[in-house]
Parts: sequence; C-alpha cells; structure tokens
Amino acid sequence: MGPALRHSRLTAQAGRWIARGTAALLFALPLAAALPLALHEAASADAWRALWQDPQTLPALGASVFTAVSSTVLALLATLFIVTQLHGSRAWARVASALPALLALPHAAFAIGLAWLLAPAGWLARVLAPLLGWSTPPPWETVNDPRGLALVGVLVLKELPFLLWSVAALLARPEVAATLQREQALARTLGYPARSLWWRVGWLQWLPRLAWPLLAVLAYSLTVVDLAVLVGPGSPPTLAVLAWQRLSDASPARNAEGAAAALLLTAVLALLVAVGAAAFAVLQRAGRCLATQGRRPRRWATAAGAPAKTLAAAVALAYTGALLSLAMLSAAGAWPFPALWPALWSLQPWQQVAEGVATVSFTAALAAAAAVLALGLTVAWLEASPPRWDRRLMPLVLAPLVLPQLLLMAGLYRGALALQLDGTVGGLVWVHVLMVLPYVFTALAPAWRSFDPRYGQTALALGRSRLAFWWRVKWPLLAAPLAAALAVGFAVSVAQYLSTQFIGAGRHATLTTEAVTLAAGGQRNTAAAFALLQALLPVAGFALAWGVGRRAAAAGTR
Amino acid sequence: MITRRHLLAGAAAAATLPLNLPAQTAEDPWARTLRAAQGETVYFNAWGGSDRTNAYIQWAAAEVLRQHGVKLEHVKLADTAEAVRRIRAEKAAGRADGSVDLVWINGENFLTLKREGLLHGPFAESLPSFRWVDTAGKPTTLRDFSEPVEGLEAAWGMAQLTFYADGTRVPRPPQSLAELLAWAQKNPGRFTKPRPPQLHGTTFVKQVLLEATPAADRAGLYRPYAAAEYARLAPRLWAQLDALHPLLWRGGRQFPPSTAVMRQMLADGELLLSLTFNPNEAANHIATKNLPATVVSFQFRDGTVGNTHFLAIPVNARAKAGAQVVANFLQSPLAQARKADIRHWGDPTVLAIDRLPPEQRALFADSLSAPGAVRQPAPVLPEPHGSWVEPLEQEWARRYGTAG
Repeated sequence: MGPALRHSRLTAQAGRWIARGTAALLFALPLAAALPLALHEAASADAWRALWQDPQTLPALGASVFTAVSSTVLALLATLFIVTQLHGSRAWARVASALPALLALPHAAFAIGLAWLLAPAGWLARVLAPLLGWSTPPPWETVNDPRGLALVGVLVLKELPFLLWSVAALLARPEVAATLQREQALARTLGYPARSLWWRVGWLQWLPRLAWPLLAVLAYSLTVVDLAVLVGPGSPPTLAVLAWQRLSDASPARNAEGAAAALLLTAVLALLVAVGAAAFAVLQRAGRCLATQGRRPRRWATAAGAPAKTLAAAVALAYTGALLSLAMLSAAGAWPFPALWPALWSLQPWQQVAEGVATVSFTAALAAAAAVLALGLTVAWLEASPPRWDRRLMPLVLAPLVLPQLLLMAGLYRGALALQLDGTVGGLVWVHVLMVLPYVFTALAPAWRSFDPRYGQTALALGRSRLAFWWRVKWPLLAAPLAAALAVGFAVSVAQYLSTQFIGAGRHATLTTEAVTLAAGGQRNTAAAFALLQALLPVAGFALAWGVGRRAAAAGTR
Repeated sequence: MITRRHLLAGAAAAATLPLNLPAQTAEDPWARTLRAAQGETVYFNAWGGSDRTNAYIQWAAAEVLRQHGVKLEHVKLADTAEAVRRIRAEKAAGRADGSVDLVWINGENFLTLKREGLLHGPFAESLPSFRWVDTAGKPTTLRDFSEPVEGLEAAWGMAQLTFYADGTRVPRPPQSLAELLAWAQKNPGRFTKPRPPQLHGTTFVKQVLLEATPAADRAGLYRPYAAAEYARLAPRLWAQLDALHPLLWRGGRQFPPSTAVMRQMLADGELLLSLTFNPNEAANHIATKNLPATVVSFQFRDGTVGNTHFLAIPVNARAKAGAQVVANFLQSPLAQARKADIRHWGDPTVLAIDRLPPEQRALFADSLSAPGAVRQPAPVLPEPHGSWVEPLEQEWARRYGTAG
C-alpha cells in the first residue's frame, strides 16, 4: 500500500469522523443533556404521591391507553387491508400518489375541520335537520365523547396515510420488490392466488420492518395533546392532557406532577411496546403453522379490492370534507342552526391573515432552514457511516418522536436558557432541526441505503472523483427521495407548536402558534383561516417535491 | 437611522437645554423614566386568544411609539402561566435580561410571582395615571384576589361574572342561583360551564360558594385558606353543585373547554345560557354580528364575582422604564376609553370616570345603552383569597372530574 493511498484513506476517515461528530454534536448532545434536566423535575416523591392520589389519574391513563392502542391497531389493520387488496393495481397507484397531500395536512387543522362536520351543530346535523324536524342541535356526543371514540377516529384517519406511506416506501425498495415478485410467482406455481401471499408470508416477513413507523404512531397517539383537547374526552381528559395542564401551571409543585405524569406515559409506552412485540412473536408462530398446512384460502380472503377501494374513498372523503369545512368556516359570520349556509359571510378573518404576511414568510423561512439543515445532517451521516450503524442510531434518531414532547421541551428549554439561545432565531432553527431530523432520516434512509453501490464503483473505476460521482450520478438518481425528504421536513417544521413556544420564548409567531392561540380563544373563523393556511403551506412543499420527482423520473427514462 | 424627526427633536432639546439645566437636580422622576424609555423595546406578554384584544394592543403600540418613542411588541400567549414559568426559569438560570418586560396578569399568577419575589416594584402608584384609578369605588384595584397589590402591578381593566342568553328564548333570565336551578330544571342540558381549572369554570364554582354562604359567614373566604373554615363552608357548595350538575349540558358528565366555545354553542343554538367575565362581551359580539341582536346580558341580583386584571413588570425585565411608560399609557383616560368602547374591546375601565376632567370624561361613550349590554349592574362580590383556588379545584376534580 503506497503512502499516498494511505494518506487519502486517512483523510477520508477523518472526514467521516467529522461528519459523524457534527451530527452527534448538533443532535445527540442536546438530547442527552435535555433528558436528565427533564427527569430531574419528575424526581419528586411528593409529585408521584399527588399523582397517585388524584382520582383522575387512573381513568385518564385508561383513556390514553385505550385511544392509543385502538387507533394504532385499527390504522395498522386498515393499512394491511388496503395494501393486500390493492397493491399492484391502478387503484394503488392513485392511493400512493394522494398520500403526500394527506400527510402534509397538519393534525390540528384536520381535526378542527372534521370536528365541525360531525359536531351537534355541524354540517351533518344541519343536513339532517329538515328531514328530522330539528330546530336545535341534537344531543349527539360525536366529538369530545367520554369514551374517546372521536379521538380514535381522527387518529386512525391521520395515521393511516403515514403507515401506507411507510409500506409504500418499503415495497418500493428494490430488494423487497424483487422478493415480492419472486414469492408471488412461487405462490402462483404452487396453486395459491397471488394475493393470499400477503397474509401467509408477506406481512409476517415485513411487519418487523414497520416496527419504527408503528412505534412512532403509538407514541404519538399516546402523548398527543392538541388533538386530544380538540376532539378527545373531557372528564377526565387523557393523561397527556392532564400532564400538559400541570406542566403549564404556574406552580412548580404542579409542574413536577406534570413531569411525573409524562414519565409515567413513557413507561406505559415501553410496556405497550413489549406487549406488542410478544403478541407479534405469537402471531408469527401461528402464521408459520398456517402457512405450512398447505390449505388453500377461502374465496373471500382473495376477493377483488372493492371493500378496500370503498375504505380508501371514505378516507379521501373525510379529508376533502375537513378541508371544505375549514374553507367555509373561515369565511362565516353568524351561522344559526339549522341553516345550511352562513347567514352572514365575513372577510374579516382573511383580512387578518393578510395583515400577518410576515408570519407566513417567517414560518416558511424557518421551515426551509430546518429542513435543509436536517437533510444535510442526514446525508452526512448516511455517507459517513456504514449501514449497520443505522440500526444502533435508530433509537437515538427516533427519541424525539417517542419521548413525550413536553418532557423533552422542558429539558431543551433549560439547556437553551443556559446557552442563552432562548428567544433567538438560531435557537429556534436548532430545535426545529431536532424535531424534523427523525422524519427526514426515516424518509431518506431507505432510498439511500438501497442505492446500488456498483454505480459508485463504476464511477471510481472510470477515474471520476467522489465529488463528481456524487454530483453527476448519485444526486440526480436520488433527486426524488431527496425532494420528498425535504418536503417532509418542511411540513414537520410548519406544524411545530410546543418547541416554537418554548425555545422561541413566545417571541416568534408562526402560522401554527397563531392558529393554536386563536383556537384556544375560540375565534372559530379566524382559527379556521390560519389552519387552512397552515395546511396549504406544506401541501405546496409536497407539490414542489412531487414536481422534482417527476422531472427526475422523466430525465431517468430518457 | 437618523430621521428628520430625530434631528428636529435634537434641535428642540438643544434650544431648551439652558432653561432646563438649573432644574436638572430636581427633575421629576417620571420625566426621567420617560427619557430612559426612549428607544426601548417592551415585550408585552399577553394572552392572544382574541383578535379584538390583539388589535387593541396593536393600536396601543402605534400610540406609545408616536407619543414616547417606545416600541411595543405583543408576545401572544395561549396561557399566562407560560410567562410565569419563563420568568421563574430565567431567574433560576441567573438571567438578568429577561424575555418578559410587561405581563398581563392577575389572581393566582400574580400571587405566585409576588410570593417568589419575581416582581419589579412597587411602581404602580407612582404612575401619573394612577391618580384617576377608582380605588374607593373599585376596591379590587388594590386587592388582587384578596391579595394586597402593594404597587406591584398596575390596574388595567375590570371583570365581573356575567350571564347572557337569547332574550327571545329565555324571556325571564334567572336572577340568582336558586332561580338558575329552577330554570335548568325546565330546560335541562341548555346551560353549562367550563371545567375547572379553566378560569371561568373555577369562577362559577366561587360564585356558587359565595352565594351558598350567608354574607355574615364570608369573612373566612377572604383570608388565606384554612382547613377548618373549608370543612365548615364547602359542604353547602357541593350540595348546590350536586343538584345543578345533572341538569347541565350532557348531564354534567362533559364540559366545554372554554367560554368562547360556549359562545359559539349559544350562537349555534346548542346552549340557551352562557357566561363570561366581560360584562360587554355579548354587546361586543352583537356589534361584530357573531351573535344575534336579541341576546341580553344580566348578573345575579345580589352580586357576582368580580376582579381586576393588571399589568406587572418582572424583576429581570430589560426595559423597566419602557414597561412603566406603556403601563401608564394603557391606564390613561384615552386608552381606557377606547378599551371600554364596545366597538373596540368593551372591557370596563378601572378609572373613576366622574373624577376625570370634562374633556376626558367625554371620551367615554355610554356603553350601557348598547344592545346586549348589562342593563342593571349588580354589586361586585370580591374574589375569595387566591389560596382557596387549589383546594376547591382539587375537590371539584375528585367529585366531578371522572364523571364521564
């Protein structure tokens, strides 16, 4: 080995360590510092005692577990059902192309719109009123119902596109697609209908690879605050809401109770994950027995995709309805029941939005900065580290998704105070990067890791530099996933509420903070206008990414 | 950037300099505050849930910039406790240049900041506008939830528990707790209140507590919480609530999150009766056509819970002079008159209008004649001491918090 080669190897190695180090410094270190600070707050015996003695704690925990588990299971079943029935068909292509738009719609905006459709004084009741002779809203418990069914419904509808998207990304990976084709062919030669493969072999094989998206869904459902306030139960609310109320109290003793409740939720999450893993192991064994019995499936199990198409159409309808009702609400003045249309239209909410142009541009600039930085860090990591390191990195990357946001933010805020970063734009960008990075990483890593290394070997063998290879070959080939990851990051940043309020010290208003404070104040039409705008911004981002992806695809087929 | 106005002001200052010099030592402290405030930026942390309130603060920002060269930035909060936690955390981290210069506050949050020594002052009684504050007629301007203010916050506005209903559907509004119960029996499910610890939910509980306690027995409620007194007085409260809850919306098993949502429910026809802390809220929303003009406001004959909301300056505020200038402006007759006007906000003034010079008195429109305003104002029942809130809220949660 010549000294020149050794030298270049050493430089490459140093570069790798610098890339890893930067990623760690900007990402891992703040998290590692934030957690002890947050845990410190929860380490009070009095707080745990007060939590234990509060009669609301147990029922609230029950409500949290019920809504989280049932929404995760239902969203998973719906995902499996839709993919099994539709994959490979033209309907699947349509579903897959609609997913980014559904994903981009922020949770809170969707919930505000959907709640209005279903509320006792909402649009559905107004349509029924003349038929049933109602002059006052019916005594429906369609939103904020004590069992939390409305919350489950909203969570299922909002998580379903995310899971479908994760599955689509998984199945699009070349090695998975190849296996799928091989196995389907094999199934046919053995006399099984191709679709029966999914339940017998496919899902048992691929579910473990959906573990992280599923964990993110479960963690989100268990700890979500804004949706639970908008449509969730009230007496008692979910434990996440109780924790949030206590963490936002003025008294430090109550804050400690809130931190304890947030920690309790994290422990419950760990327990649920263990139960889920055990259940899957049992399922896998049972599945293997079924698969090796050799019985041919009954006809219903392989029927054509009509029910799945209906389900997908219903989901699309819910999203369209939510958006339409937001649009209608944002221009409504007084609107007495049971009138189908507002008695008075009002442009005042939109005038107010127009006055807040600075807020729109700040939101977009912040989101763009956070998404670009997160993308840069992700690419640096993916280039500098071998694929097997990803597995070890995943728990850390996903920590911001899995840990209750309140707990994390309390700790990060302490850190920001010490570094004098609170209230600064720099601090705000940094915390957004922390929250955005997990999504960018999960969005980009599959495509990056399945990039055929032979391209690189060929380019180097032809005497091209690493940089040229990157710029001329890898970048164009990966343009579509890069743009999609950027759009995901942008959307996640736009939707940030707690992190913006905490680290921004309330000084930097974004569309989301405006929408949430106005919704808290009950200004329905203005809140709807801001929510609509909050939804449109990321949709525009995804549309842009889609355009880039199409252009790249067109360039590739030429 | 130096503008022409700066140059003119500089020239004017230079021209008057010799005249001012001898008086420099005896300069009145307020003039010094005004001078120190020049060019400061005041971060005003205030609840931002109402676009009318936000618009009013924007107007005030333009005025203080024009009149005093102070830049006012509204930091919109969803909950004032956010600011309290921030002030405490900054103090604990040893930050002298805090992020909050002025905060809109009262009750428990004030008590917390005062107890922990996180307030700057006393400053309120040396503001020039203070001499017009109606401390005799509105004693809550000196006692915030029965806690002495001691000049640590400047009175900004008045609040009193007020009910409103559509006059065509509730022709004879209830005038007492007993009448409310009788009305609810005839109209089950058409009244409710938010769930404590939401402000209005807690206030309604206090109203029931005060009304269930004979006037002669109320003294204990105005002193800090005592367990024996609580054990003696609270049972009457729970008896009344036990009777009322099954008659509320959704049988008292669920509660709406805020009175703003209740206002919407009343506008939609789901509720017939709602409540508010701003006696002019209904008039205000009639003016913006969010409520029908047939809505009427009323208070209970023997009085309803009332309080004052204030402006305070944290001990680590950067722009203390600027914050005082802003507080003084917000307390001035000009700003108070605009705030009391239902076309702008409709928040009752803290000033003694009858003591104002005639030209300033004329700024105040007659708000009682507006459609939807309270026709017969009832006496104000002062808030029980702030320390009663916690035990009341905890027992409420124990009794009714898990009814769903």
